[in-house]
Amino acid sequence: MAILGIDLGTTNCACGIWTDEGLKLIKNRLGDVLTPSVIGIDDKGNVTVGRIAKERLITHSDKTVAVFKRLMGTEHKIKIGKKDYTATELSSIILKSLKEDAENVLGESIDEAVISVPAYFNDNQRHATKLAGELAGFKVDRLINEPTAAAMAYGLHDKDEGVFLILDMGGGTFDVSILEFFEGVMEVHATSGDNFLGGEDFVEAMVNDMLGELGVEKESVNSKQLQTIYMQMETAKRKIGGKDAIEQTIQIHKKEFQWVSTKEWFDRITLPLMIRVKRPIERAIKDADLTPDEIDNIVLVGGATRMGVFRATIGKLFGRLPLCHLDPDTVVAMGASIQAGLKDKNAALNDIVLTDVCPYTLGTEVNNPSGGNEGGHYYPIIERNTTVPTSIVKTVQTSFNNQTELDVKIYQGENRLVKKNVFLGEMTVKVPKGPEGKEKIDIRYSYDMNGLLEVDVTVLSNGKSFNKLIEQTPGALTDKEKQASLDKLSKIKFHPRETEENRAIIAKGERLYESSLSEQREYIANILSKFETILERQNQQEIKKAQEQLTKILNDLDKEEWF
Amino acid sequence: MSVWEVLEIDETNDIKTIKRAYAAKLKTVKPDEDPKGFQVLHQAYKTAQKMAKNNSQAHFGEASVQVTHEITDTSKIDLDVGIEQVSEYSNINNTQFESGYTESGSSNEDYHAAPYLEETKSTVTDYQQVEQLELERLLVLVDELLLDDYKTNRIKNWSFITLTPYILDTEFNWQLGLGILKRLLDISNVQTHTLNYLNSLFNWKDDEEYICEVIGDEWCKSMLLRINNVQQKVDPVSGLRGSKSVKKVKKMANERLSYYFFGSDVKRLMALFIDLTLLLFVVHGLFSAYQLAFGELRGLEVKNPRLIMLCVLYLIYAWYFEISFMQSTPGKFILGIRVTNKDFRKVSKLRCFFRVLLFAATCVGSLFTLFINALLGGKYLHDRMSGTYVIDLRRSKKHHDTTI
Repeated sequence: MAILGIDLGTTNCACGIWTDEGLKLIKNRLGDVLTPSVIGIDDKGNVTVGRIAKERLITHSDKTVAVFKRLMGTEHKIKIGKKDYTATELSSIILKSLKEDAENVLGESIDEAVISVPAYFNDNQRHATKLAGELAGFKVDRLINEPTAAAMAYGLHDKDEGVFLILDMGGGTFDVSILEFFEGVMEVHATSGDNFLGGEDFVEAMVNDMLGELGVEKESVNSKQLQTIYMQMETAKRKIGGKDAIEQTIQIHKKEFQWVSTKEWFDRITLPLMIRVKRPIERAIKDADLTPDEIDNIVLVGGATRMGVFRATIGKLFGRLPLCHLDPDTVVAMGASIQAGLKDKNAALNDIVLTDVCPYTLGTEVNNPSGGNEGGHYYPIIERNTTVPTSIVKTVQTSFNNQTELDVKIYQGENRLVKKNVFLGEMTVKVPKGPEGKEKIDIRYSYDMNGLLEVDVTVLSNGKSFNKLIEQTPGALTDKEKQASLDKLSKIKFHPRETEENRAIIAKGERLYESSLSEQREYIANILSKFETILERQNQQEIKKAQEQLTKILNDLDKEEWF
Repeated sequence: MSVWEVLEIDETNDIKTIKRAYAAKLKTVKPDEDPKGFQVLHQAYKTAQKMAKNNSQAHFGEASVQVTHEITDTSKIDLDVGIEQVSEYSNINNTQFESGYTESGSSNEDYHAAPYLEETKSTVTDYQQVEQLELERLLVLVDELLLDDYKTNRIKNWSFITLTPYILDTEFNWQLGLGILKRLLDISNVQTHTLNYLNSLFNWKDDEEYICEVIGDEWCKSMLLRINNVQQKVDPVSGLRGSKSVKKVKKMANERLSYYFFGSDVKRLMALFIDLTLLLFVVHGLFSAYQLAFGELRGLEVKNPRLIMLCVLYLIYAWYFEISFMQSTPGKFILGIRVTNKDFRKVSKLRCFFRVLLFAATCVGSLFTLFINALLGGKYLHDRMSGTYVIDLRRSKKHHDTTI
């Protein structure tokens, strides 16, 4: 049985499998490789995922949601329609839809997957991703870091040896990885990144600056108009590299503004973001103990790296042009599929071994090492960018006389104070009474290939040991909660596959109707109602013909840059 | 087992050989199948690489020892010549390099290194000069801008900074940031949003302590304190598109604080007083209502029905609230006190039931228990027996925030 490789992205998802003939990306029910990570739910509990939902983001913004990957591993509940969902549940809906598509294409059931995560995802976020896979009915033995996946796709494609710097900027996250490929070994030297920096931030910066210039309070704009503005700015962002200026009509309240987005304006307002791009790159190079000259290839991954300003900045920093001949939107899915093939022990991939690193330092809390009984200090156990799997032991001791309990708290992060790091869990260990410093315990951290942590504690004097997989992480579920989630999700039904194409057309038509005016509006309303009459007649041939016609008309309308 | 035995090769300084050996071994010791073996192998690989690097550097080092030896001689001569001219110093360095390499008898290839170095040096200085001029030009513009308060606080007016081609150069960025911050300290009306914007370009906040040390101005810290570092507090919800609403669900069991204070005697007595007063109103209300509806109470043997009702009601009330999300009775809640189990978490229903019963039981001794409890350092009899803590959450939080 095949294992599915999935790129679960902030803006788009894609999946593929490794077959005997090589890599195969899977097309969804609408015939696209990319499925937008957007979910819409109607009142009956029916779910739409992908392009249709994306079209409905404007027309039904309270029943649709996008860019929720950023909330993975947090305790936020997102209300769409009448129900609350966590980001994990929403992700699992997307995964379920991808699963259905893949099963439909392959004609067999698939119950195992390799899912990609940003390299800079922390433990909580990784657990949440894994859980999302499980809720969707996958066995998820392996998570793969997105830049590593991309590098695998490049390494395998070019059969190049050398050191790669991979810059992966998607919709919501930015990852930097340095990877060396030699003799069939892919060794990751270092990763770093920014979990809150992506293409969406550029759009956000544009929208905020534009509203500021026009003197409009963002809160005062209603959600429909705001979504339209976001989409317009998104369009402008995509086109700004090719043109010097893009003129758009922006509707706010009842007024219309002519807004010109110039390249110069765009460069100026996104400079703070580009400065943020630079820092993780510097850190990764430093951590890998390399100089910029020692990097053979710079690889760009993720849709946001298409931006002219991004390429120009990287060119400036390194004095050369980056590689980008594989489609940055699907390269991660390709890598994930290769990893799936590896996992499946596919013969063609037999002599490739991948080693990865842990992106953050992992440690525990101790008293101030320079004396005193003041707690809250961080004691690193596994340093960041250590090659995984790894298992490291550190010994700590009691800090006051007759201490009977030691609290082993587990943190992830780089700050010397635990408070500023991410809390992952804790366990309490009982030790025999004794004077300060007499009782010692060994703390062993084991970090596996998926970036998940296990902690073992042994009391040295009596040999008692305690083991814990991280518990109490935000977003983690008990069995009962998990079952409740499963029950909730099992009630969700996807729309029947056959009607999806028609729904996509109508959703797009509705979106265009919302964002256009007067005559154009009437025209769209007219053709949409005609289409609906044809649908009611249920004559397959007629429907097919109408679909083609209408798709063409709507595409032409859409190209007119939002009028 | 030595690292070479693990890699199954003879000791070598050739990095390529080491890599090849590691790659070959890795095909049999796969990280996902044999994590322990892999860790040993990887460790050996890294160590071997380091040893190889050090060894080849050591060879180079021998040569450079010789070089330094020669240098002392030549520098003496050179120093005699150009003793007054500091600018000559860099030239001296270059001659040292040249002479050093020739003396140590290195190959011709090495010899060529010297002019290459010189070349880069001159381009570097050119570049630095250009940057320096650009820096001065920008700072003049900044000075002009700062003359006008209104203009200073219009972010758009700062856009000239973003147009310089060197803004992404680390050194240039730092110098410019430093220059601007120094100037900002001299004027009074800088608004926070201006500071925030400039911080997003220069990341002052990241090296807060160092930058203040360099500037050496006491106002520096207070000015940087005003900046809210947006980057560190990015709200994950901000990017979300669509959806009706988002709320954060807080689980009760959250991170522990660094230290817990027990509720003080005074606060606990005050809390009890508040709770009893509250209940007294309720009891009186109930009795009055009863009397209004049904007339005088009759047939009751008990001497003081109101007091008994008050006591019973208090026990139920305490139990109900202490297991609720408030984790304390309203009186305690107002004073920032919480009832927890020994893990500082919410108490279970059963444990709280015992706690309340034990409270009732210990209260029989009334004054006597009060006396004992006062000696128990915040952990009263019924707390101890039921395995619960009464903590001063407000004080503990304050302590937690100030110490860290």
